Amino acid sequence: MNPTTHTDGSPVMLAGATCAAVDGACRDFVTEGLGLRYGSSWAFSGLSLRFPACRISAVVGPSGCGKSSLLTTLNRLDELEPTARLCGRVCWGGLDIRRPDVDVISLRRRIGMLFQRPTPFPLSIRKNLELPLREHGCRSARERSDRAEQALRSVGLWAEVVDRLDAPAVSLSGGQQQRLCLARILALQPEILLMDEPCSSLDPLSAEIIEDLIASLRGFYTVILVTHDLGQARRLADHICVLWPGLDGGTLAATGSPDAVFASCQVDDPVLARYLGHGGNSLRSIAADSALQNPWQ
Amino acid sequence: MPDRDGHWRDRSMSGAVLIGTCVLLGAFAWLVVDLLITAWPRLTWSFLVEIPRRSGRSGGISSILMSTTLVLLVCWSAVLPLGLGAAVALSSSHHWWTRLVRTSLDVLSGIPSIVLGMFGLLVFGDLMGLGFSIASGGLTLACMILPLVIRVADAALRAVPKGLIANASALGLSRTTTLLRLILPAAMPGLAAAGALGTARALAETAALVFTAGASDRMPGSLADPGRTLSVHIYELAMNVAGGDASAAASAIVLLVLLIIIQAGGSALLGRISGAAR
Repeated sequence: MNPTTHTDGSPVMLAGATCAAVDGACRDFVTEGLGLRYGSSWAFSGLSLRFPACRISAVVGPSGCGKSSLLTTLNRLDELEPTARLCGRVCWGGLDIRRPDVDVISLRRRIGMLFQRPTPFPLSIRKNLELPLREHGCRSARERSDRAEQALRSVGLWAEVVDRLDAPAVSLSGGQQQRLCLARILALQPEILLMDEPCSSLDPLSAEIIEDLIASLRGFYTVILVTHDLGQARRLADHICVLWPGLDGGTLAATGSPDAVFASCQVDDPVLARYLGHGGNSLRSIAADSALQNPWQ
Repeated sequence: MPDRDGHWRDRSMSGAVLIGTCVLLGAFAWLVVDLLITAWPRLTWSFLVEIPRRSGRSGGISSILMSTTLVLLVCWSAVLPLGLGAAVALSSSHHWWTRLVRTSLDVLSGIPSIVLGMFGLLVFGDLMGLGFSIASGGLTLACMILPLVIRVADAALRAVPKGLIANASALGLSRTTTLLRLILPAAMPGLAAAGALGTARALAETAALVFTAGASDRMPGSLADPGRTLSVHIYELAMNVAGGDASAAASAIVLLVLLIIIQAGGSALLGRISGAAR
């Protein structure tokens, strides 16, 4: 049972000043007692997490522990899902971004999100980049094309597409499409990047390119990366949160630096310990472990 | 032996499908050939450009084509905003009543057109004072095809990948931009299918129009004039005019050709739109 979430599903009440007091002027992304349920079943609950500014944080955990759902609450994308109910707070720079008076359009410009499946718009490569720019008030055509070029260069796609900017974006390869999607976000000059398993639908070579790109974002953006790949989390992340499925959906099982989480951190659950590779067990050896799929049974 | 059994079954299935296809094509070919033979003496250019004489036994169908066009125009000028608007509203909301509305639309689209004709006569003809007129007929047709158009357009809009909408929202695109620049273009093939289906049903309609647009075969001067559409013309010639068989068959050929043009034109236009979007 989760201590910070009421079992009846009512929101956890927190002191109003907590966010500002803890956060101050700092740009860390903080969740407090965050819980999300679809109808009556919890995706995750009682998550109080801190994602340090300008660092790469990875959220890992087995399927169904609410990693992707957590990500959608951070840019209020869960509001598209009519059955989703949220409790708790998401604070950024002292502001609760879930407040109804927060402008969600400009919030989502500042908090970009890269999805698992690359989804370019069915438009030309150029228009894929320029449509969001125009939407966010970039009126001058020259500025739009400059920012598009800059974004394409920063993901290493410029040289590959410079002679076919007006070609349909869906004609690009999967890896190129994912880089285009990243460029589309970067063109909007966001501050936070949410990434939902951005490499898992790509071939190994493209995945490596994307991974290198993510590493290059360190220090410039606050990156929150959801991944299944513990090796990737270890390689990329400065900070790791491990979610683990429980009765009330996913809860926080361990958090800290990669070294602390993967090597030394104390966990009681033997399945979790094996998942994190403690005691020298390989991940493969626990893949067949039925307790991992249904640890509460 | 199971293998040989399976083989035998496959072949008999293929045979059955082939026979079914031949029967269908044969029936259609028979219909067309029969119409062509009956209509042959009347199928000339002047048939298209002259007004009907002697109740349609001679002359042409120019006034009929004009009435048909005007009725369709009135019909679509009501269906396009209402149908598209309703389909967008239905496809983008998740309230409990959307299921109720969808079920109601399914029931509505099954209402016999003669009943809708009575409704049109009462509402547009009497209450709104439009009488027997092209406007009244067009609006009645709009009532008839609206449920079908909304349902098909709604299905087309809901078939747009959710990922596209999630990506657009995550980039902070407004709902209007998402709808106009992404959803509608992506749903265009289905929307065009809704348009073609609706037009085909409207073109084929007789019963709802006899009560509302009337059966006058004169050239309409305005939307307030009565007018006879192609289907009503065929019905009148076949049922009420002795010696009108050849004209009825010729009109039926024109109607068939029109339907084929609408379908082919629709898919050609569609190919260009989706080709440009891709």
